[in-house]
Amino acid sequence: MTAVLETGALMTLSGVTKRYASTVALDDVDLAFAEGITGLLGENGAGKSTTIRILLGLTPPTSGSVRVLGEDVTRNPLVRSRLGYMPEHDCLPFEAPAAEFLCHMAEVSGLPAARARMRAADTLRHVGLFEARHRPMGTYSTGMKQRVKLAQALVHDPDIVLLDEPAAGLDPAGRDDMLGLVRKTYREFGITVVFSSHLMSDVERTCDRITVLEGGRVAKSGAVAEYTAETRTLFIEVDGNRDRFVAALKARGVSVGVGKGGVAVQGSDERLRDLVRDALVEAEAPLRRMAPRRRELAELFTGVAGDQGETGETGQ
Amino acid sequence: MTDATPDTAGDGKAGGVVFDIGYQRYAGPREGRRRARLAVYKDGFRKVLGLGRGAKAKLLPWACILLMVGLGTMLAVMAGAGQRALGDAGAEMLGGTSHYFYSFLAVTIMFVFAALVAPRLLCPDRRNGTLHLYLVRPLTATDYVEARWAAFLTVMVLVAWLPQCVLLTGRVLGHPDPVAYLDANWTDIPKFLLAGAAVATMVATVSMLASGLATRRGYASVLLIALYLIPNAVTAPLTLNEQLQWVSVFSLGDILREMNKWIFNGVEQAAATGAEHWSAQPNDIDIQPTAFSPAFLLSAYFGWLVLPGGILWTYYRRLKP
Repeated sequence: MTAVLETGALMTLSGVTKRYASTVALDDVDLAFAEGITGLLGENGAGKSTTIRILLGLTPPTSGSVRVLGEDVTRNPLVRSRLGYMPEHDCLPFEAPAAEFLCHMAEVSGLPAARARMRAADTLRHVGLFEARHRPMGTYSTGMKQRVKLAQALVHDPDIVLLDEPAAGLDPAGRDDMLGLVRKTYREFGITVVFSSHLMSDVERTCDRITVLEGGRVAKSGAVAEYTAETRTLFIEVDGNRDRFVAALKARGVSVGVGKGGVAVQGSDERLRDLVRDALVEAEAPLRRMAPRRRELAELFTGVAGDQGETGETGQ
Repeated sequence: MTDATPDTAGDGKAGGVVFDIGYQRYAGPREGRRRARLAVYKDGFRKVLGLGRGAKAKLLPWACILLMVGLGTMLAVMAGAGQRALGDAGAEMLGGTSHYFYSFLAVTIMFVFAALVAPRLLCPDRRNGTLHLYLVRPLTATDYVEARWAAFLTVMVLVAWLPQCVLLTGRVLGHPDPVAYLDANWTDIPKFLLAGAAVATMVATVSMLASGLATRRGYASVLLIALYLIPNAVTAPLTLNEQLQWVSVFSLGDILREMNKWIFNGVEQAAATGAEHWSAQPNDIDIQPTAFSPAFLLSAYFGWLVLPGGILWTYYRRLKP
């Protein structure tokens, strides 16, 4: 049974500061992680790993309090039997077969030996490694190793799993598979996921909520849908005569942004759409697509205003 | 989601059906740190002996074990043959087949064994990053290192005792009157058990420290061999001067050999007091009494245990993955 804190969050950091000598890794951070898939976004040195280490109880905070499943994880290591962790770096003993390694890790998490064996086989089946389970892990591909790393985090059936860059080093197909597994971990297995990444596209595709860390502080936190909502920018793609189309729009006093993919115009009301229609007709530009533009998570970092449109020239 | 796959054998009998019932939450017992420590202990025991691994992993530990058991067997055969062929007088001449003599030889072999296999317990986990996975489970770093140490100690104690048991068996069976032999020499048993445990405990502790400080197995092996040989080379010439006998406490090999003398010396004292069964079998007639007082010797021995053990424990307690 998942322990839920009074706030409804499974894990909270309240006023947490972490200093390493003269470096402040986390600066008075208040965070709450609720059920679902939460993406922890930030550049290198933003404090993602420190947050995860504090949540796992590996590093005590310099100040502030941390509650994980209602417990103080630094004082009660038993809470970790309800947590799973998938590190970014290599962590697998290459000479051991995956089934044996997972069975061992399940036992180290507190499961009796017979149950551990069953859980190891089941978990390997769920991550798609059942057939290869008796092979030494040194013979696995990068994608298979990532799957074993995920499996070892899940083998003891935790309530929460913390994944540190789970798709790092994978090719596009492997990345899709891994992100699919991460989604499955919550949607089908019911295990809450905290997912650290510096790749916004991964977080956008996978997470329900995001927390953006910047220089040890929480820059933004909320539902992914909030940050990818429709903007007041209309994005238009044409199949030809783009320059004439842009000139026709400018002649009508429309603010235009030109990018590689198409043309973004400020506003989305009926009057603007009429102006666009007229400009298309005048420029004899065949319309391929016209839709309100959605924000991208990347804009949280680049500071590009969602309503400004694509990069490129703008003008009246 | 249920994915049923008929699996008929084609022999007219009803076949099995495999249902994929999807992911199942675990509702069984969670046994916490006790189970975690036991798991690390079991894994350590298997790693040392190469159990569940290929022949290459088994080669070194089992070769050393066979060497020690072979040595015990050889001494047993020599003792039995000497007794039967030459009688008590001849057996007395074969003092080199005693439990003490084996203990004396075994110190070096046990160090070699430890240098070859102890690094398997700690080095790969740190080098591969597997240690991270242990420390994010309901296990502290000190639980981990204690369980590994206990696993290695178990193996070392068994390795120390097994050849002595073989030797005892040989000596008992080689004697014309085994019961009389046991009656006369039963004190050998607690002595070789104690001496074996003393050697095993110190070698296990020192070798775990060497393994804990190095990330590569080769470095750990070299470090351990150096810890054994270098102090010995330095102290050996100094101890020729009687006033400087005490410096041998800095040599691991010397301190263990002195412990052996102290533990086995009771046999010699029994002989000196004219115990009636003493001459029934070749015995430890050549044991020189230790140059140190028991208090000094025990302090040095426990110093060698507490210092490396304390460094290892502190190092792992402060270790942050």
